[in-house]
Amino acid sequence: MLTALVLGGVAALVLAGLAGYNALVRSRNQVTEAWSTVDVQLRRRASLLPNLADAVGAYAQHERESLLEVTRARGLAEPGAGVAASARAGDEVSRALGRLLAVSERYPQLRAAENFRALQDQLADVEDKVAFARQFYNRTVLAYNNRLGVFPTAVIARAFAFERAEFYEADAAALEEVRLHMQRAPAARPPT
Amino acid sequence: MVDLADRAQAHDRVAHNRRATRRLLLLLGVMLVPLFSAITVWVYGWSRLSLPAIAGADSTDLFSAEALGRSFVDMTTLSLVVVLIGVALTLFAVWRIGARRMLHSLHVQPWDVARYPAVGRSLENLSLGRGVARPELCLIDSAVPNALVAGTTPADTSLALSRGLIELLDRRELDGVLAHELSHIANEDPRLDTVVAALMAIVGWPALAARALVRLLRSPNTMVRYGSRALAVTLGLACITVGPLALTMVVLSLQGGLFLLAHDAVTAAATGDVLPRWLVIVSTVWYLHALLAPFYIVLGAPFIAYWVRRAVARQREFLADADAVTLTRDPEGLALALAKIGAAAGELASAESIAHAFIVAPRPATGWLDRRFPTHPSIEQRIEMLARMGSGLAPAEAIRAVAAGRTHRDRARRELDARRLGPPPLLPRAEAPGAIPIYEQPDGWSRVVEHAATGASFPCTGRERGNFREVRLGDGRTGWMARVASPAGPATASSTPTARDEAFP
Repeated sequence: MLTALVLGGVAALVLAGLAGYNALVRSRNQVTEAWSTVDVQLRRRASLLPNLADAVGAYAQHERESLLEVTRARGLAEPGAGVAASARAGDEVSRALGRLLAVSERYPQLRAAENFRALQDQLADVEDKVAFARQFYNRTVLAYNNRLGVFPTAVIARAFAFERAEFYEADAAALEEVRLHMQRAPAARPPT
Repeated sequence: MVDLADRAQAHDRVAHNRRATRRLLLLLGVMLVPLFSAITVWVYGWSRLSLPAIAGADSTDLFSAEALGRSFVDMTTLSLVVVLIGVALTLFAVWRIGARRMLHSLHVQPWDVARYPAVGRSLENLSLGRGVARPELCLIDSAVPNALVAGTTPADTSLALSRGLIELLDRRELDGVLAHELSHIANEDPRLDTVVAALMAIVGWPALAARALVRLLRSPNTMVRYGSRALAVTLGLACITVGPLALTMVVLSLQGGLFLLAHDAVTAAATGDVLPRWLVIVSTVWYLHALLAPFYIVLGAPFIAYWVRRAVARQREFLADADAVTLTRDPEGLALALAKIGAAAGELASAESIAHAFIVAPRPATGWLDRRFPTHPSIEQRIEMLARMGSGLAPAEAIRAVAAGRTHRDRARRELDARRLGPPPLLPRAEAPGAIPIYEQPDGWSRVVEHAATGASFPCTGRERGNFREVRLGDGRTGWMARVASPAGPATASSTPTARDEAFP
C-alpha cells in the first residue's frame, strides 16, 4: 500500500515536471515566433527607406546629407541580430524616417506627388504593423517570463537553464516624431 | 464620468472573466453528473434485476455485500463511458452543423476588398497584434450595425460585418469592434460556444423539444423562415422519442430504485449478512437520485443549462471587451462604437440560436426568460466597464455618438420604407417604350410629331400651356411635350414662368 502510494507520488511528480517543461518549451517557441513577426515588419519598414529617399531626392537634390544618413540606417538592421540590436536598428530607422519626413514637409509639390503619397500610405500601414507586432511580442514575452518566475515551473526552468526573454523597447520619442509628421501629411490615411 | 478610484485594469478584468467562465463551466459539468449516473442506474438496475430472473437464477445472492460493492464500481465505470460517448456524439453533431449554418442563415456575401480597403488593412494589423490568423471577411447586407465571428478553429474562422456597421463607425471605433471580434477568436469563443451548446443540447433535450413543438404549433411559418430540413427532422425525432423515453425512465426508476432499496433492507435483515455502512448510504443515495432524476431532467437541468449558457455568453462578451482594450489601448473607441451601435439598434434577421455570437444582441429580448437572462450584458454596463478601464468617457462624446447612431437608424428606416413601398410613381407613360411623345397640339391626344428618346433634351420656345411646354425639334418644326416629361436643361431654365407657376411657387 505504502509502496503504491510512494510510486504514485513519484509518477505524479514526473508527469507534472514533464508538463511544466513542455509548457516552457512551447512558451519559448511562441516568443521566437512572435519575434520573427516583429522582425519581418521591421525589415519591411526599413525597405521603404530607399524608396522614400528616392522620392524625396527627386525634389530635393541638395538634401544629400539626410539621404545618405538614411541609407546608412538601413544597413544597420542585420538579420538574426537579437532583440536589443534590432531595437537599436529600428530606432535608427525611425529617426531617419522622421528626418526624411521633416525634409519632405518643406516641399509641397513632393507631398502632393502620387508616388510619395502611396509611399506614405505604405509607411503608415507598416508603422501600425510594427506597433501591433511589437505589442504581441511583448505580451508573449510577459507570459513566458511569468512562467519562468512562478513556483513550480521556476524550478524546472532553473534546472534546464531557460533564459528570460527580452522585451522589445522602441525609442518612443523617435516613433512619436514619425507619427506627428505623418499626421500633418495630407491624406496619409484614407478615411474608412 | 466614472470615479477614478474604481478604475479597472484591463488585465485584471481579463483574469476575472476567465475565472468566472471556468466556474460556470464547472457548474455545467457537475450538473451533468446526476443525469448520466441516473441513466446508468436505470439501465443497470433493470438489467441486473431482470436478466437473472429471466435466466432463472436465485436472486438473493445478487445483494450480498460483495455483489453490491462490485455493482457500484461497475455502475460508476459505465456511467463514465456513457457520459463520454454522449458528449462526443453531441459535440460531433453540433460541430458539423454549427458554423456553416450560422453564416448561411445570415445570407452573407463575399467581401469586396475594393469597396472597403481600410477595413481589411485594419483587420490585418490587429490580427498581428492579437497573434491570430486573419479571419476571412464577409459582408452582411443590412443597414443594422452588427458583427459576429463564426468558425470552429482559430485558423478557419469568418468575421461577418454588416454594411451598416462600416458606414456608421469611424476608423477608431471600427478598430475597437474588430479587436473585440479578434479577441473572441483568440479566446476560442466559437469553440467554447460549440461545447456549451452541445452540453446544453444533451441536458436540455426534452425542454428543447417541447419549446420547438410549442413554437411550431404557434406559427407554422417558423420552419419556413429558418428554412432548415434539419429542424424538421429534429422536431420529428424529438416528438417520437421524448415522450416514450420519459415514461420508460420513470417506470424504470420506480422498478429499479424502489425495488432494490427495499430488497437490500429485507435481505440484509433476513440473512444477518451485515452490509458495510458506507455501502448502505451510497446505495441509498444512488437509488434515491435515480428516482428523482426524471423530475430533475425535465424541470431543473434545462433551466440551469439555459442560465449557464446565457451567463457564459455574457461573461465572454465582457472578456472580449476587456481583451480588445489590451490590444487597441483605446477603451474609448470601443465604448463610442457600442454607444453608436446601441442607439442605432434594429432587428437583424437571424436565427435565435446564434444571437449570442453578435457584438450586440441582434434583436430586442422577447419573453420573460429572455429578458431575465439576456445573451449580452446591457450596453450601458459594457460602456461603464470600458470607461473604467480608460480615463472615463466624456459625456459630450457619448451624446454625439448616440445622436449619430439615431440618425443612422432613422435614415436606414426611411430607406427600408422606400424599398417596401416600391419606386416612386412613374412619369407619364410613353407610347413606345423608352420614348416620350411630342404632340402637335398641347393636349395629349393630337397627332404625335415625334418620339423623343428618354433623357434627350430639346430647346424650349418659352411657350407653355397647361401641362404642356413647346419645344423646338431639330428640323425647325415645333411640338408640345408634357412638362413633367420634358427634361431639365437649357429648355427649363429659359422658360418664362406662367401665371400657374406663380400661384404655386
